[in-house]
Amino acid sequence: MQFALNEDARLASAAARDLFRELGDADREAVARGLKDGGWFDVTRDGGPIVGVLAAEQAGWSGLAFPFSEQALAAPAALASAVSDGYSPPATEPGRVAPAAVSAAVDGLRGREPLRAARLPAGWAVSGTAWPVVATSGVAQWLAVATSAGSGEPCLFAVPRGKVEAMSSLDPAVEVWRVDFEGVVAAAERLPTRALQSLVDWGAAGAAAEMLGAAQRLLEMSIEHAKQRIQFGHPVGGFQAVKHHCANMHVLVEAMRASVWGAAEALASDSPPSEAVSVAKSYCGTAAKQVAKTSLQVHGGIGFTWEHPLHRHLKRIERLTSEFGDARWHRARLLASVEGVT
Amino acid sequence: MELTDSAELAAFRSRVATWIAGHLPPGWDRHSVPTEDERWASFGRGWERDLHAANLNGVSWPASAGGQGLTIDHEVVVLEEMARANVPESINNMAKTMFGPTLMDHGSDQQRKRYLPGILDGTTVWCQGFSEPNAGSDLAGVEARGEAAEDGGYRLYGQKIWTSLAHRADWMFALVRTEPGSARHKGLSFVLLDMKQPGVEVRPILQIDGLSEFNEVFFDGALVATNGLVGEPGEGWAVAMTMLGYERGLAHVGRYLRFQSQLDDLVSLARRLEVGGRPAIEAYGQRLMAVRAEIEVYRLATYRLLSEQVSGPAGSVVKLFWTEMLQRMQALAVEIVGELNVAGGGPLPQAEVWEGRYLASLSRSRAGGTSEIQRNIIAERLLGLPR
Repeated sequence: MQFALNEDARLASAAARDLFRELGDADREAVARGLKDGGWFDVTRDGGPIVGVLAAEQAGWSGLAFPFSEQALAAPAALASAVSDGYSPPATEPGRVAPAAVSAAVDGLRGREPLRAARLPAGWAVSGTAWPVVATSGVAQWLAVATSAGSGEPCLFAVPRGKVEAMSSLDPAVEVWRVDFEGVVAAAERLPTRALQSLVDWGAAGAAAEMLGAAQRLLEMSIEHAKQRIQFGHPVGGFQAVKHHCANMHVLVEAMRASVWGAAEALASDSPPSEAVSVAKSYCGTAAKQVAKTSLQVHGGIGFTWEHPLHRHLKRIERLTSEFGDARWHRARLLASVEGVT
Repeated sequence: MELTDSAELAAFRSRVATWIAGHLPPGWDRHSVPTEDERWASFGRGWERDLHAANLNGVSWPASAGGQGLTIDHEVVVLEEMARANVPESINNMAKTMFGPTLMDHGSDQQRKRYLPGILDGTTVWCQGFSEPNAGSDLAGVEARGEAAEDGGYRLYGQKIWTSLAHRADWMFALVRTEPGSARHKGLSFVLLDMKQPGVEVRPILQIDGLSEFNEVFFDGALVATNGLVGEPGEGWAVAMTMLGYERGLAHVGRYLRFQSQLDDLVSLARRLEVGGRPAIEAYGQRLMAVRAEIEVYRLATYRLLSEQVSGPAGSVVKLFWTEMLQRMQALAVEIVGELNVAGGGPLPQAEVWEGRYLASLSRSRAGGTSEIQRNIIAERLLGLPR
C-alpha cells in the first residue's frame, strides 16, 4: 500500500506549476499555444491519471485561462478510449476538441433537453441546442452527448463545429457558448459506448482536481492575509476565530487532495473508476465551496472587490461544481453503486 | 501510488480473514457489546491471547518485542480484516498502537523485555494517566506528584481523570511531577505503575450514554518501582510527545470499514422502510451518500498519513476530519432511525445500538485532544499563523 506521490509525479506537477504560473496573465491564444507546446494535451496518454490530476490541480491553482479538464483531460481521454475500441478519428489539432451537452445528458436537470441523435443511412444527425458549453473559441470539433431516438441511452458523438453564440460566463477564465446543432446532418459519428464513461470520469476527476487547486490557492491567500492584516494591534491570524477558519480550510483541502488522488488511482488501475470519481467530484464540490466561503470571510471587505484575485478562484469553483455531473448526480451514482445492500 | 495488495499481502490478508472466521465466537461478529460489560473484557483478553498464539498480534513489532517483524502494511491488513469481521475493538489498543512503540523508542532493554511481551499476549492491559482535573487541554499543568522513594522508585500522590478503561487495566503509564517546585513541561516524568496495589483507587464516572468507560484514579502513595521510570527523570514531556505522535496513524486503520458497514445497514433500512408512503431512501439517499463519500475520503486520508509517515500536526488533520465525519454520520443515523421508529409505530430492534453510537460519537471532539486544540495545532504548526 503506497498512497503518496513518487518522484516522477512530483516533477511533472512542478513542471505544470511553473508553466501555468508563467501563462497566468497571458491571453487565451497564448495559453492554448503554451499548453500545446508543453505537451499537456497529451497528458492523458503520456502522463496518465496521476499526472493528469496534478496538472489540473495546478491549472486551478494558477487560475489558468483555459478549460483544462474539458479540453486537456476529458476530450483526449474519450477519444483515446474510442480509438482503443476501434474508432478512427478525423485528424484534429490537439486541444481543439471539447465536450458539449454533458451536464444536460447526465443530470437531466434544470429543464434542459438533452441533444437528440438519429441514425441516417450514412452517419448520424444530432439535433438540439446545448448551453452552457465551456470551450475555447478555437474548438474544431465537439464530443457531444446525445440521446439516440431508438435506445434512449445517452451516447457520445463526434460532431464538427457548427454555429456557436457567445454567452456571458460567471467564471471570467473561460468562454461559454450556446451551440446550435440544427443542420448538422449526417456529419456526426457515434463513438463506442465506453468513450462517454471515459469522458465523464476523466472530466469529473479533473474538475475535482481543479477545485482542489483553487481551494489550495484560496487557503494560501487567506493565510497570507491573516498574517499581514493588523487589527487591535495584532495580525488577525493570531485570533483563534480566524485561526480556526484557516485550520478548517486546511482540513477540507487535504481531504479533497486524498479524494482526488483516490480518483486518479482508480483511473490508473484496472478497477472501474466511477465510484472513486464520484466520491471525489461530490466531496470536492461541497468542500471547495465551503473553502471559498470561509476564505471570503477571512479576507474581510477586500475579498469582495473585483480588484482582489479571490473572486476568480471562487467563480472557478462555482462553475466546476456543476460540470461533469454536480454533487447530487454523483451521489445518486454512488447510491446506485451500493450493490448487495437491499 | 498503489492501493492494491501485492500477491504476498493478498495471501496474508486471506490467511488473517480465515483465521478470524474460524476463531471469532458466535454472537461477537455483529452487535457490539458495551466496553463496560464484563464479557467484553474477558473476550478482549482472550482474543489478544489467541491472536498472539496465532502470530497475528503486533505483526509489525520486531521479534525481540514479541512481534513478527513484518511491515506496517501487514499491520494494516490485520486491523482491516478485524474491522471487516466486526471484531470488537482491541482492549489494549492504546498499548499496541502508542505505548508499545514509545517504549521501544525510550525504554531501557530491561523495560522492553519486561513490558512488551505482556502487551501482545493479553496478560497486561494498559491505561493512560495523563489528564487531570486541572490539566486537560493544557497537559503541562500536571500536578500529580511522584516523591522519590528509598529504593530509587517513586511514591505517587494526586489524581488523574478521564482515564479510559482504568477499571480494566493491570498497569498504567503516567505523567507525574517528580521535581518539586518545577513548572510546566519541565520536571515531569513518564512512569509505569501496577494498578493492582494499595494506594491506587479507581472510581468509575457515569457517562451520558449510561456507560462507564472512563474513571477517576486517585494515588495515595502508590509505588512506582525502581525500573518504572521511562527515559530520564524530569524529561517525561518528550516521552509523552513521542507517544502522542504515535496516536495518529494506525489508530484510524479499519475504522472506515466499520463505518462503511454501519452505513450499509442504514441504506438497507432506508430501502426497506417507508416514510409517508415513500421509501425512506428517497428522502435520505443524498445525505447518506455524502457520508459515504466522506468515509471513503477518511480511508484515503488514513492511507496517506501512513504512506507519508508524517507525525504530529498532520495527524491532527485526520483526527479532526474523522471526528466531524463520525458525528455527522451518527447524527444522520439517529435522525433516520427516529423517523422510521415513528413511521413504523414502534422502535426498530437496533434503535438502542444507534443511540449508543450517536452518544459515543459526541465524546470524540474532546477525547484525545479537543477539536479546538487540533485546530490550534494545525493553524500554528502547519500553517504558520502567530501563536
